[in-house]
Amino acid sequence: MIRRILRLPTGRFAVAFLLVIAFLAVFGPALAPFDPLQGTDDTLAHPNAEHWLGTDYLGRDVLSRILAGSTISVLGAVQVALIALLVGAIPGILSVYLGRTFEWFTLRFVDTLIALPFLVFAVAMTALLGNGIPQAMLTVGILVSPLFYRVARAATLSVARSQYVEAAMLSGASTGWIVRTHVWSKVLPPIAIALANTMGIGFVVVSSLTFLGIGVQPPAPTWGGVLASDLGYLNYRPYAPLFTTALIMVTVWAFNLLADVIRDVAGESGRALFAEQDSGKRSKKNDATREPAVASA
Amino acid sequence: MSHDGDGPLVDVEHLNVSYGAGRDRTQVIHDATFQVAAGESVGLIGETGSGKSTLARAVVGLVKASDGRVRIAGEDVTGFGLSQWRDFRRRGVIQYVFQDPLRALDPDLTIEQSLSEPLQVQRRLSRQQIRDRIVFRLEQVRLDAALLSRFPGELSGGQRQRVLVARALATEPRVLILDEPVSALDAANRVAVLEILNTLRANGTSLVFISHDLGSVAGVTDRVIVLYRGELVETAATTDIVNRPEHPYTRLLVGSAPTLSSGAIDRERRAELRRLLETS
Amino acid sequence: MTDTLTAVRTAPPDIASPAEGADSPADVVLRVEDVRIRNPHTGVEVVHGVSFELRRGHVVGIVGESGSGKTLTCRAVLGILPRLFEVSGGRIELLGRDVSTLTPREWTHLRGTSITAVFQDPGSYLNPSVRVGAQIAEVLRVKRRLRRREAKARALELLADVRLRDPQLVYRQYPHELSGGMLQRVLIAAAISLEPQVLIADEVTTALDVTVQAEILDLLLDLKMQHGLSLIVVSHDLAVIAQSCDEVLVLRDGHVVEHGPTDGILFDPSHEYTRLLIDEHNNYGLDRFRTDDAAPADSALEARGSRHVA
Repeated sequence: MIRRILRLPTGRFAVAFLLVIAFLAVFGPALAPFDPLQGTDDTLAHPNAEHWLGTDYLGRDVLSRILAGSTISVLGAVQVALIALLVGAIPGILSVYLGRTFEWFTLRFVDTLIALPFLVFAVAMTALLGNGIPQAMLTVGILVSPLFYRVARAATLSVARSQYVEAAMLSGASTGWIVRTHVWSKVLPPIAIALANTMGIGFVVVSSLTFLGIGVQPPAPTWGGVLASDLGYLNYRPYAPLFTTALIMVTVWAFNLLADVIRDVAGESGRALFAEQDSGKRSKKNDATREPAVASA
Repeated sequence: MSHDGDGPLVDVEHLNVSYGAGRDRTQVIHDATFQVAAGESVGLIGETGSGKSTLARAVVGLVKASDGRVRIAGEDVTGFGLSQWRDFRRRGVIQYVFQDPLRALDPDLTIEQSLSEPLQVQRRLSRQQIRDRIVFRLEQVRLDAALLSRFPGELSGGQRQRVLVARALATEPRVLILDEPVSALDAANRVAVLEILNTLRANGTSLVFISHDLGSVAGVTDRVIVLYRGELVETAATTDIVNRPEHPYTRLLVGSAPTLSSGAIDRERRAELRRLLETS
Repeated sequence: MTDTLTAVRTAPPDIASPAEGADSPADVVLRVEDVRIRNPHTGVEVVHGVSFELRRGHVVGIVGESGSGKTLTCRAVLGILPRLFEVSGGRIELLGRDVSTLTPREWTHLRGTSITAVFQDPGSYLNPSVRVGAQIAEVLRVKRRLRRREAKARALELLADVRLRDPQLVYRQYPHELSGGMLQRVLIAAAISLEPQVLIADEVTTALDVTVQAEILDLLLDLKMQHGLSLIVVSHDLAVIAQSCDEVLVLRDGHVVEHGPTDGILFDPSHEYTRLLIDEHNNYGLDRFRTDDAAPADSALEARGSRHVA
């Protein structure tokens, strides 16, 4: 699968960019040239040789704050995605096999969750559970899990009732074999896509919450927080919001791009895509002309 | 192929199958009793909704029977649980060829993987032995070994159908059940598949054909069982069914089938038979 | 024959009336001359010269598998070739008029009133959310300007004409409530509602049970006799064609490999593909078991009474 993703140029771009973000998350704070919490007298400076992105209203280096804040953003996004996956996908797959009652209850529960606005709920939950990103992410993860539930359930359903699974059963295959051989390859791509999309959502959620000042104690640096403080001083540095905004936007875009690529390379459409490419290369070598398929008369 | 014992290979007694419960309960198969002897080729003929596929599925355990007894190769499979069915199926005695080859092959597996599956599940043979076997089976159905690395989507309908037959033959079954094996194929492919099935028949494999059209499988069957609204209404040698049908539905069936020679009964006869069927 | 029917029959001639002078009893309602169809973008020709004449009251059969060009040929005759294809050669004359001279408006008028068709999957030609009776009535209201009540009455008559046992009930039903055979009858009713002169039946029985197939074919032949229809029956099954048609064309990969009267083809086929089809029936079909003089012993059974044998 990963090989196929890397065959497409968009896939290579998305993976490369996200690796950079991951790298920042791990090494960002260490890479920061200045102490992100250290204020100086050089407030609201424009980008210069010393402070590449300038300084904020307390004289703190913006670049360092952004680098240091990357950890929280990425961790938050990962948290949302993993929680949503566990809370959603497992019941989703099980609902196909565990009988009507289980299916009914989980479906209704999931329908309820879909109805709730997750951002507002997250804010409310932090009031209830304590002001922290993990609590907020837990809430958002649960609220976003219906996506995984439906995706996992739909993928499993399409496989479970299929004739090739019946044929495998008729040959005496065990459930484990059937899952490994037939179910896994069908369920993995949709879940991977949902995962990529959810991480994008998680990113936006973390940025939104920290923008509102929820979840982190100032003066800890976060992308949303930096954006918030930037907005307060637009007269002095009108370009300032661009940095964080661009960063958030491109990261989310990279996640969505990755999701698109997975969708394109998985399964039947993926084989068709590469078959075309491969035969195109072959025919260029052989200089053969290809006739398009004639519609059946 | 040598056969032990003198009992029938498939022995069905008073089988009943129903769906749903309580008010929604519908009985699909009523008191079905029939046998398939070793080396015999039987056509199970009925219209859509007659229950023919359900009956076959009940025999192989894909559908649960509500009453009755099924014996396959002497073993009583009635009331088998999942693990018992699994062990029995791994013996590879009875196999099933589905109607729609596109849906019966996993689109994400190569032909080689699909063909190897029944043998891999048995866990008896080495990888090389499995490969040799499936290449042999492919030859049997007149397909080239080059197809092994392809995916089902790349094959034509006729090729897919033959792959299904090859897969069913992998475990050297004694009974092969085929659901409308040639209905989706063009003439050349139909003839090819029928010839393959005839060869199997000559080699002693028992065949059970499920079809709505007697004409498509008459030439490869020794005997015909006619199913109407869930009941077995007539069973006789194919020649007798075609030339001396007795039950009104059989007469209607035989009289409706388009043939090259004259012999189809006319409209009035058919209308009469339908009236008879309604009132019976 | 009802008054409405007579009224429709004697309606003033519309745009599609036959050209002057072509009113002899054995006149040709459809003439297809060396028709070629190709894909203009690739230049690949898919139908290589099909020719036949359909006379009034006759039945022409076309035998072919998918990919043989049979459906494209039918669509060309109806003027509904998919945009991917065009008629690149030859001539089609419908009721004496060269169809290449027809404007879209004239085509629209012709379709239904002069030539019509029924295809393989009846369910996909009906609106699933409208009752079937209303869909037939709609054809009459739009094309014949009948009023609601007249259209309904005529539709009920048509449903009876196609031998549906309870026209009132069927009128009120939705497509999903009807079986394949009934749906096909409904479509045939709609097709004959405007009293066309040519009816094309393209694989109309292919998806149906064999017992229903026979009825539908019978129905078409009866309608031919009652209404003076000329039929084109298309099927992949040579036996279906053999039973219903006077004249047969066998198509393969866009070529006409055999063409002639039915008996001639069956007894003395010239092409190996035709022979393959005939042999299949003789080796694997009911023909293998039928002895020449065996009428399927219905009269013999009459004497015994019809006992059920388990």
